[in-house]
Amino acid sequence: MGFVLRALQRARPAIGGRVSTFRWITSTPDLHKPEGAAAAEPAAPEPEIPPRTPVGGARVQFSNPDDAIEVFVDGYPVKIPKGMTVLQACEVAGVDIPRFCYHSRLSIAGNCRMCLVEVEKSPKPVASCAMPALPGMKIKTNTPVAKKAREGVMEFLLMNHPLDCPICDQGGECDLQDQSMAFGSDRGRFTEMKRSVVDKNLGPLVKTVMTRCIQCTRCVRFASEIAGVQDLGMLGRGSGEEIGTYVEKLMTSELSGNVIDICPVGALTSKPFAFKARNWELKGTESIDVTDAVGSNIRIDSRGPEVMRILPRLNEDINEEWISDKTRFCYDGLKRQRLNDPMIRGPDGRFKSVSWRDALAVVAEVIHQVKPDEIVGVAGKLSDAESMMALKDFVNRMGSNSVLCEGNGPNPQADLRSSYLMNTSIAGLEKADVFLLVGTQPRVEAPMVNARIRKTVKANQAKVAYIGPPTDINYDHQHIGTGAETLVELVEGRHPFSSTLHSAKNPVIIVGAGIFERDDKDAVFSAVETIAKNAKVVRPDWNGLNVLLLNAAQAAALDLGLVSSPNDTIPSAKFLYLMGADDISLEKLPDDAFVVYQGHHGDKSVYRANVILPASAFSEKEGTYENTEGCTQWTVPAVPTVGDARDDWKIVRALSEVAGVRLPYDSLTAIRARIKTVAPNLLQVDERELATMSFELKPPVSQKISSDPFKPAIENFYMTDSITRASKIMAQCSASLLKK
Amino acid sequence: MASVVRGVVKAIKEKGFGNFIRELREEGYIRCLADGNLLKTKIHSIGATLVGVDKFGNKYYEKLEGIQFGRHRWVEYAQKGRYNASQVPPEWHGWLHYITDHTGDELLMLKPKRYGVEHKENFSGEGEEFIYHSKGHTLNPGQRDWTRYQSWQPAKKE
Repeated sequence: MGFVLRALQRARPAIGGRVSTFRWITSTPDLHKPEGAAAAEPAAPEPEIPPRTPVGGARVQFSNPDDAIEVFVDGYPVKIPKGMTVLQACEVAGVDIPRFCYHSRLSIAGNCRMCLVEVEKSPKPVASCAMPALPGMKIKTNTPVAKKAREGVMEFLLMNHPLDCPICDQGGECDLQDQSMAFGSDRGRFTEMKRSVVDKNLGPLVKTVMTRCIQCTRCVRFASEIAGVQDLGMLGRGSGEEIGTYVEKLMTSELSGNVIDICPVGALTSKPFAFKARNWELKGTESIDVTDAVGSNIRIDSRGPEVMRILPRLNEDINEEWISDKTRFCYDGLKRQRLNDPMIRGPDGRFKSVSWRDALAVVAEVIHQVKPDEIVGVAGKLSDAESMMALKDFVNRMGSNSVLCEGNGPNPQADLRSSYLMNTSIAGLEKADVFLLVGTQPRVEAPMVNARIRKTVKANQAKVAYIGPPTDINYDHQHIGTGAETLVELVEGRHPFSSTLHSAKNPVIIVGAGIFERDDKDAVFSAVETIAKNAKVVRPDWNGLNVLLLNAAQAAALDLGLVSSPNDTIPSAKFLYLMGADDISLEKLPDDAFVVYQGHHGDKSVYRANVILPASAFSEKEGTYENTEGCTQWTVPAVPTVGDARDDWKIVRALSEVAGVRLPYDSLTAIRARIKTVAPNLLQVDERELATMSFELKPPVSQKISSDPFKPAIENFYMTDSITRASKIMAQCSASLLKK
Repeated sequence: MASVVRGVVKAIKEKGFGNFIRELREEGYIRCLADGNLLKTKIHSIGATLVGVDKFGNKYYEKLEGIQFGRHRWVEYAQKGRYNASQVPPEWHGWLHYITDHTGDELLMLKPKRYGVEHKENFSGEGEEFIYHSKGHTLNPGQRDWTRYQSWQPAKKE
């Protein structure tokens, strides 16, 4: 019968178009068995394969040309440096090898066996992720042996994997799903009961369904190698093997959310995102994070008007492919406590919603009733450069010069860009061999910088010395002091660590931005510069003197010259314009001062405000942010603004017109042209503008170093700004993870 | 005819005149004067056997002799004013359409206890409030609010 059908099919043109609408289904049962397939495929000569492009734009760097070796992948010769694994060689050759346990940023485990390939003259298929490539190796990735090996491995993996893809949050972005479609068999032979594993409680962020786990141990390796917590581990043997915390314990890491991304199956998924959306319903918007000064690259996944989740985006220079938990899970704060209507506080002390026209008219009327030098503008820690520029121009046009950005402390040193930036750059920290952390706790202030330091400590055995309050640092370090007197000892060379610092090849000093708030900060910075000068931290080829900033707005604010001192201006202010500033102390503000709060969340400062102007959050506007290393990046609107809110700079621009001092720009392009005249580096998006370091240009410091110990700059890692303070997830985190 | 008159007189004697008139109205005898369909059903039902009454009060009749096969089962709807086929519950549907000879009362035994839902008639064209809209439907009253954020409430102060 089959023969007749095939004959008919062949004769299709002769029979005519009518038959062509049928598809003859024929069966070749012998080809379905892998053994049969191997036999059926004749040992024909390999056809000539056109050169393929490397997987994911993989590039090879030959540090030493003599180290290059040549291997053949599917008959195609490829040059790779010595020490690369077979899998990496295949990637360079443009062949994507399926894998579960292998991850390029983690150590090699070689336990999933999915990456089996055939190597000529090898008796068995070899696990390519763990096998170093040898010169002249002939690697075959699509031979029947390799295919059969993959199919077999996949069958074993699926033996104990539950068939719950329809209710699994990983569905649609699951490695196991994709690879079983691509490389698996179309049937299984397993008829027994599946194994089941008790779910573990890893805290409020990571949901576990451990029955789905395929024991790739990526999460275990991530936790111990990158996050630096020894919480996760492998228990048991054989089919009793389980991932878990050894005792009932939460995963207390600020990077724990990344295990969700690296888990190739749905064993570790996001708890706040559980059953909220499917990944194909989401619209991804490539933006950046503003919850700390690192400016991690993120992808905001939104559905309609709400942000559903935040994922990291690859940027080797800033965040590699990780983000902190605060970045990842702050998004529910964007949906709570939002200001959506302009409001005016009535004579009875209650807020009443009004129209924009009325609100702006009231503000414009009041601003003309106070003396010009009583007008103060304060930019918040989440402000973008455009709105800070507009605020500064507006306040200057009203005749005042008091514009500042919260967190920069009294009299910020903004004359030299190098004195407030991370000059080494985040990626540059990897070359360092000695770190001196002065009053900074990178683990809570900038987890991505901390991950870099940890990576360097792991890779180069770099030494870390820490001056500051006792804190939890997740790598080897010496705690050499708590206050500035240790700095004095280092300046004078009396401290034992001085010799380590002096003998270092690439020393790095990181000063925390918490120092900005100290009264003796000029003296502290001068001491640090002396140490840097003595230890040759700043050389033409190496700049190791860094300031680690705390907030997304800080660097741009200093670039734009928002440099007033809050201690001098706020006590005499009669008109205070708060642009999202919630952490500035308003205790000294006179009671009769008129406060305008422009922002997106009803947070601390709203309660003191007389007029509320609703603005858009970072996920809803286009804005320029400069991160702590001086890299300018843009946020992109992912979701529409809420209610009647407007972009920050537009509000200031509209207010300026109502107040009769019209600002000369009414588009983003125009305001960026204005920024270009002040800080042209803010227009060089995704580029670091280097700052030259010059100790001689600085004026001599007459301050005395006080003996007060350094204070922690951040009390609660999970709640630092108005968005994270509004977030329920972050509240849960601080309740369960920070409690000791 | 004489038997009809005798029945009427007997009924008035038993129930009283007011009750008799009310029952007459409820049973649709008044309305059938204007509604030909109803009148036809009433006349049809004379001499037929009442097979069952469902929980909505619809009456199911059957008459085997002197009637064309295939027209020997019919329903008289409980609602005399607005009746339509969707008022027949599923257990009676089979009997009424000659799919089965089991009456609805027998088939009701097969109805699943845990997840069997109550029969609802079709309210199409009867107005918005009768129409069922699924959870995601734009016209579902629960879905009218598309606000996906919670606004700050100034009243929460102090």
